[in-house]
Amino acid sequence: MNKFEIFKNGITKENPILVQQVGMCATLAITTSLLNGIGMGVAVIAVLTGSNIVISALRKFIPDEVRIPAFVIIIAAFTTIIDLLMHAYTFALYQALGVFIPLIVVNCIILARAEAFAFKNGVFDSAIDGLGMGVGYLVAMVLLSSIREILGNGSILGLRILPEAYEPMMMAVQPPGAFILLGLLIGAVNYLSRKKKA
Amino acid sequence: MKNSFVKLGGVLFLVGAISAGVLAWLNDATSDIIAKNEAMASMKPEILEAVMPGSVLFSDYEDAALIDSIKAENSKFVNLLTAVDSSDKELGKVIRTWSTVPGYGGDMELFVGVSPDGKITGISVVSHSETSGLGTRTLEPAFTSQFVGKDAGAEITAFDAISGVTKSSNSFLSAVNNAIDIYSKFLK
Repeated sequence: MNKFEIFKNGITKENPILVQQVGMCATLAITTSLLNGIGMGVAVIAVLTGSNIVISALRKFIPDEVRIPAFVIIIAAFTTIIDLLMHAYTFALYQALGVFIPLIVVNCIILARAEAFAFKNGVFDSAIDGLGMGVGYLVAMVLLSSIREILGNGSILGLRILPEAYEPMMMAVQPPGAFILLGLLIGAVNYLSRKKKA
Repeated sequence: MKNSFVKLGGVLFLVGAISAGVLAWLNDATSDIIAKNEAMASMKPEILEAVMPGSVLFSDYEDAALIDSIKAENSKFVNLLTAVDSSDKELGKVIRTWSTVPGYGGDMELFVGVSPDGKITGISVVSHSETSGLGTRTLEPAFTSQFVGKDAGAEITAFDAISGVTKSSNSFLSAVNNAIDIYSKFLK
């Protein structure tokens, strides 16, 4: 696989949310507004790329028997770094995302990429893989959170775009709406990707 | 077998120790900023604006010994704070104090802001037990604004008490005068 294919893989063919459907907990919970979606997406990109690079660099040093605990420590360290940085420099976003920042540590996509890619490939390829998967995550978060904010609040990034007459669809920003809209989004992506293949 | 345990344990130990070291350093570097963020978030913007317009945070006064000596002399005094704006510039002092005369439901607790040139910048009630709708009228700007701009170096004797709410008004005034007393004795 060339570098661009590794990058593209995470966005299209193996998109963590829309295709692999992992790490759904935070996805469903925080996509109530576009800003939250972007913030979470960027935080995941940082943790995923950082842990992929370090794990790949240490892959010859870490014995197979203890690789999972070592992955967990490295991922937890990166998550804590992001948590501290957001707490210090993007406080409003930190408050909006709340417990879901520390919960990045249990997002399956990060451990999955460490195990499936970073532990077997070079540092540069792993960095691109982390970036690609992270951007794929961000794209899906942006799609879902935009739909939810427009339907549920009539606004985008806090700016009202729908006329006052529009009655916000409360369900869109509540948990059931998250499930339904995510299902429709995944359905639409599947429909389009199959049509392309055929 | 024994060697492999040592090796596995050693690798995990190293990974853990380096991670902990990085996190300890970062925690140290960000803890002050985080503490400030949390302190700012715990303050209600309307109180900040009422007591010291333009302020974003009341931080602890740097001279803790002075606070102790005020406490020793003045039993109603709670705390002395420094009001700062978003660029960390000091805007004035904020005195937190109880009233010396009880109101209808007990003592009232106030924030009194004082500018560097010794004028009262604003007042906000922190806690009170006054009757809702009557004593609570002393919380409203219609009443509190009469103290804004007054000299914080001289006791206030003449003021407009709210008719029918004399007891609460007097309690409020006693807290303001206690802040003035603290200001003239310790901060002037």
